[in-house]
Amino acid sequence: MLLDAHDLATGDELRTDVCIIGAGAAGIAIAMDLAGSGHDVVVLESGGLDGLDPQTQDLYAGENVGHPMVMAEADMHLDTVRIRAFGGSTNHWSGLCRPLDPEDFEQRPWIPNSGWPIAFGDVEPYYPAAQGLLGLGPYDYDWRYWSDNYGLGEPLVDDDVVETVTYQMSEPIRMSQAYRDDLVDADNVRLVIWANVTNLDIAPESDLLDSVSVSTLDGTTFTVVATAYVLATGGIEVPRMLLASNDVRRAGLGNQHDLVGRYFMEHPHVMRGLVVLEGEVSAYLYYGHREISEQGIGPPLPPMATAHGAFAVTPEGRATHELLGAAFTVRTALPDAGSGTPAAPDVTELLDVEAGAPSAGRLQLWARGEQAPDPASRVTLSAERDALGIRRAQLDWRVSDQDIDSIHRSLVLVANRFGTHRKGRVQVEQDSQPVADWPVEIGGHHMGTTRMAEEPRRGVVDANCRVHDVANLYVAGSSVFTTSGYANPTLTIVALALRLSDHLRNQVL
Amino acid sequence: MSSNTDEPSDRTERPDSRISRRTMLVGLAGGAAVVTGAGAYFLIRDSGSGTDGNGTQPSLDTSTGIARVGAAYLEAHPGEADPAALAEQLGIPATDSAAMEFLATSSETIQTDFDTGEVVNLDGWRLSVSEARASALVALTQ
Repeated sequence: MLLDAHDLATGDELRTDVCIIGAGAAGIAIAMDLAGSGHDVVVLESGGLDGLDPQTQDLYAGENVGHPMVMAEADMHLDTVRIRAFGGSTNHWSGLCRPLDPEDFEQRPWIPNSGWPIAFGDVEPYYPAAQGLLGLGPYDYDWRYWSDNYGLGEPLVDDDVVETVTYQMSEPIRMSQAYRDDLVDADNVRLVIWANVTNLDIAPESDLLDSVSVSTLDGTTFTVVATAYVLATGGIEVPRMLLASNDVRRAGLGNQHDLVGRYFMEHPHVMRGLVVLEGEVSAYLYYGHREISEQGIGPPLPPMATAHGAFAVTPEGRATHELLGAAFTVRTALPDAGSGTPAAPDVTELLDVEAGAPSAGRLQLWARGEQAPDPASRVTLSAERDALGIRRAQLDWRVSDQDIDSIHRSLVLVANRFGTHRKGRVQVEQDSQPVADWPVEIGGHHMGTTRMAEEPRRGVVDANCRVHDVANLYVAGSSVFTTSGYANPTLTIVALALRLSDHLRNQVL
Repeated sequence: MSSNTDEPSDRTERPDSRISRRTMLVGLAGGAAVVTGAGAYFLIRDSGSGTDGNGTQPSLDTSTGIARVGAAYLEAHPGEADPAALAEQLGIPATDSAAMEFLATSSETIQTDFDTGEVVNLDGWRLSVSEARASALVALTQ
């Protein structure tokens, strides 16, 4: 059922089993999983069903006082990198997906504050269903599968130091379009649009939310009372809402150890690594983005679904060299790319002699790196308030020397393996620019701000994504990531959301 | 509300689905031709700071790409600007033709360099020490 919050009366109270706050990837995944379950579900969405409402989008405005956020050389802001409407940021995502590696969940001594309270095996059972919701192909990320079944060629480099990892891309699916009818038609789901949560209501001395307060922009206010509440509003808005709900607990909810909002992580994107290929180039096919749905002997893929490779230091290599995760995808380099002496054409000439054949061209590597969790990288509340009177988010994004140095050292390993396998040579540093000054862009991935940990002193939510000090409040989304890995987060966001839905169904409701 | 977004620019790289693999290969090969042609844009570097051990500048040929690679190596390692010493290290005669032959036939040596960390950094390029020295010999003897 679809409800417009404007049609409710001030003072109304909606009662339900589960109240999901936010209808982005995580919220929709849980709602879809609970549709038809017999449990009553209310989904509160701040925006509308179609397009952006400027006044609603303005609720996302805030200040970044830390490292600049740049995407595709354009300055990004808190209200441009996110979408506050049904479907959330799946309305503008690229569809790039990959699960976390098993090692991402482990405590790694060279990465302070690493180590999830759950293992990869706790999440893996939910990845296949997440693949389906996101319009991806089969849950298989081994290049051999895609090579054998879809003829995608052999990897350029794949050994015990640097491996070829696989990404999948969906159409990209727009969850607002794909699941709107299912949710509106579900007998047990009430999707309420234009419904802004203004407070998470808790009584003094209580460890349970009593309700959530909701308001439209024109002043209609009502409450929702639920058995369980799921906060699914993204890695910046989740901590903002927890911190702003401070009428009873002055530090906010879940914040008794001053952890809410800390450990904010992005995926630093760095365009470095010019490759001159040596000899034949057919293997490049595995690294290119293209339609493969109607090729090969594998099962038909969802429309526009694709797979392609990237280079990454193996988990063993990362342990040996004490590296954060990073993956390097490829683009065809512009003919005049590169700099310095020797220049790329000089190296091409050298390799032509060595290979006995003309080089097939150049590639540009593009790194997506993991960040070490840093408590100083954080979301707080600014003094400025939005149209609903809620203090706006303030982001202080930190990028550490370890973050960038790790990308650099990973790239050096990749460069050396290109030489070892006679696939080409790589220019790691360009323009004589110090590594610390390499331009860093963002992926729009907001992670870590309500990190998962077994102990309340180390994290905001427990292994079931329940806020440690609020027994009926859960968080869905990448804010629960303890570490980020290098993989794009959406697939894991949805897998963790499905795991939470399973928990709610089997243990809570 | 929000979940996350991925870099939209990823999508801009997706080739037209109607492009066949053959077309892609032809396109890449065409790119290689442009690459080779682009060599003319780059300035030929000065002969560098290498010396012949007697304080005089060795004569460096930088008219080819390989020689320019060699000149860059000698600029970074001026003490190696000695054709005889380079040839001895490579186990070949001190001639440009021998150096070119080495580059064309010594892939195993070059691979071993990368495996064992015998890698030089020339303006960001990671090259094997052997191929860089052979290139230097070309620059000194061509």
